[in-house]
Amino acid sequence: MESVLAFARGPLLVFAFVLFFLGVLRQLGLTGAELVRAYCLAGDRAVPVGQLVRNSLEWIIPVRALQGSRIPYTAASMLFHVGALLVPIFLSGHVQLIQKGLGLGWPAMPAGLADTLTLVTLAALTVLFLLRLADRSSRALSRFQDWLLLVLCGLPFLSGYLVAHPSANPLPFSLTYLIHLLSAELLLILIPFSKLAHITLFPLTRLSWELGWHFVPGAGERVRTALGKEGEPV
Amino acid sequence: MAEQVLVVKGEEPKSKVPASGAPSAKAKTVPKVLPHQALGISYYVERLYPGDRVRRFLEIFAAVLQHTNYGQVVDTYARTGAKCAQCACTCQIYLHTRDPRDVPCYRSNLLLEVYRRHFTLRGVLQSKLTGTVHLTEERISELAESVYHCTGCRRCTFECPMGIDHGLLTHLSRYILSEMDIVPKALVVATREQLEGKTGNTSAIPVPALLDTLEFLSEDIKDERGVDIPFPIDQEGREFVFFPAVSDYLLEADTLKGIAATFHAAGESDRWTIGTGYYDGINYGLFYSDWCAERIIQKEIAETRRLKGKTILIGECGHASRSARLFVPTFGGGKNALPILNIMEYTLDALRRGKLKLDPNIITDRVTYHDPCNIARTGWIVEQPREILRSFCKDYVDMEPKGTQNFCCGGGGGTVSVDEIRPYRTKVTGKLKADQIRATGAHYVVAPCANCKKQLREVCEDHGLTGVEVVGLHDLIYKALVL
Repeated sequence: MESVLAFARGPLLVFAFVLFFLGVLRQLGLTGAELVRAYCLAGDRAVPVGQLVRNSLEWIIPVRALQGSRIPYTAASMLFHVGALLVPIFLSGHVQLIQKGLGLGWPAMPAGLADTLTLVTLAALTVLFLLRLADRSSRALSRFQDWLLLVLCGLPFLSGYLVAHPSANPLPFSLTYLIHLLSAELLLILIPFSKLAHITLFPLTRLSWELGWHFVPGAGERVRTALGKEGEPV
Repeated sequence: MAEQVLVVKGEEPKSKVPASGAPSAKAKTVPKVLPHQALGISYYVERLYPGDRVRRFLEIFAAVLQHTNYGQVVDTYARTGAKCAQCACTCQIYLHTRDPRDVPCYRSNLLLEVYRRHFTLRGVLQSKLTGTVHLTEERISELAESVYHCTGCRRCTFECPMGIDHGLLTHLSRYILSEMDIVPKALVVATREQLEGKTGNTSAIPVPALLDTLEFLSEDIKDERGVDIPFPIDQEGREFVFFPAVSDYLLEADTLKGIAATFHAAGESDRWTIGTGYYDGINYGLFYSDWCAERIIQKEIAETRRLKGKTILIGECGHASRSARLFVPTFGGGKNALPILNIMEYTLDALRRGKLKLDPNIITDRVTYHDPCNIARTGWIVEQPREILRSFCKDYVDMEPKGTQNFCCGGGGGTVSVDEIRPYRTKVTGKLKADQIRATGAHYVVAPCANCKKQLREVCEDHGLTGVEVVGLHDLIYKALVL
């Protein structure tokens, strides 16, 4: 067990982080290049940047969405995102680890706050799972990854909480710790390859949408030429 | 519009020539299977692609991805779509049917899944390893039916946390399908006449008929209002060159009279003109084909330049306005393109300058306003018509929801022209609209869009809303204007 743990906290953790960074960089690079290409080809290059930024921000702080018709879902989603972003980065244990490993440091959040946020995140995930299950439309839309990722996102939080509170933990410490490490590493690796890609692509989705409507002059004719339909009538 | 598409007699056989190649010996034996029946879709199509449709679909998709700007947005959407179904609660079709297949995200996924499986490394490997085939004839038919169920109102764009524009994906799907001839016959026939027919417009109105109509309208104004208001024709150097939905010349006399009267009352009849070289604002390319969209918009630009006009003035028509605003800069020179103005913007400007006198005692019945999606969804034209209406209507009420959030008439995205799906349009997509109108208790529903007008009249008819009159904004202005 000890050697497995050592492997999970050592080489596997480094591997997961490297794959995560490379995957994200590749994705951002390719998407960025595609966006530049689209901009250069567009017949109309006037892009309302301010409006796009505002639109994105409205979803990061979804005040407007909270007036919509699926308030429980939006609220749970928002709470989940707050915890999912803050806890892994500002948990004091994590901050100390990173300082030890990389020499980089930032202020950590108080343990009490981290505990509360973790529980809120877990509760929000449960609500999201149940709402996805209860609503006919989202149930019909859901793929395997949509269910799996909900569970996978919960695992590091649940196991992390149990690691931090051994008295509440019915499982052996080392097993819990292993689950914590492995699930978090799996999530990191999956980010560039699943819908979690929105973690890095989100700021670009509005720009991508906007440029999608910026058509390319002459493209219609070139498509027809490629299809061997030159000169054909409508 | 172009519901009254007058098909030129010589047009029919020409279109059928390639079609005869499609159904082989099978079709010659009775009973004859029509192309749309063979596909299992509800709207008429002219012909079927005779070869392997799955292969053709992928060829077209590949060519489109290579030459257009859709690739990057499809890729981003395919990666980020969260399948949360937030969009479901805004879609008026889903809200009525509660069928998961009507969730915007489900519809978009039909195309995104083809992209994932056939155009990404992971998808291709997965298919190879598992030996599964994703795209089939059935899936093409499902997509073909689904994208013409959507009215392209883009109300769902407000609810998608990932910023997925399902309207864009509907447009793209329709474009791909149109390149293999899967497109409602009503739209193709009208576009063919506009681009290749003798009359050069979707309603097949020849110039002499247009001139007759305008003369007749002037006589009408003289009879009704006692004022001589000729329509300016082919005047060079005027500021505005006017393009209404051409079907207005056949169906919306009051709207056109109202517009002419507005210019006259403002003392600015010398600011606008109608060109006989091209006088159709309709651009069905927005609904199904980028190729057609570009060619159509070039006609609008060319006519404006021929008449040395400075601004393209669009009549009461939602998609004509949006397609001009979208495509004139795109295909007409970016920053140096001709500016676009909707007639309601002009009228409000004239009103604010104090050039128009509207009698507040004429329109006493309750009035409400329907927002055409193509001009309202982005917030472009929402308050302008309301300001005009409030200035002279005694009893103006808004619908709920209104403005950018308003429901579609139910006939958007060109579906209003497809007469064979009328029951679907009025009973399913138009259901919430009918409820909305009923709740206002209004007599006049102002719908400044040729498509919306036709659709709303049919909605009212099919839902027994007998006391409702669907009119254009300038129809009411015409009644109330002090001349």
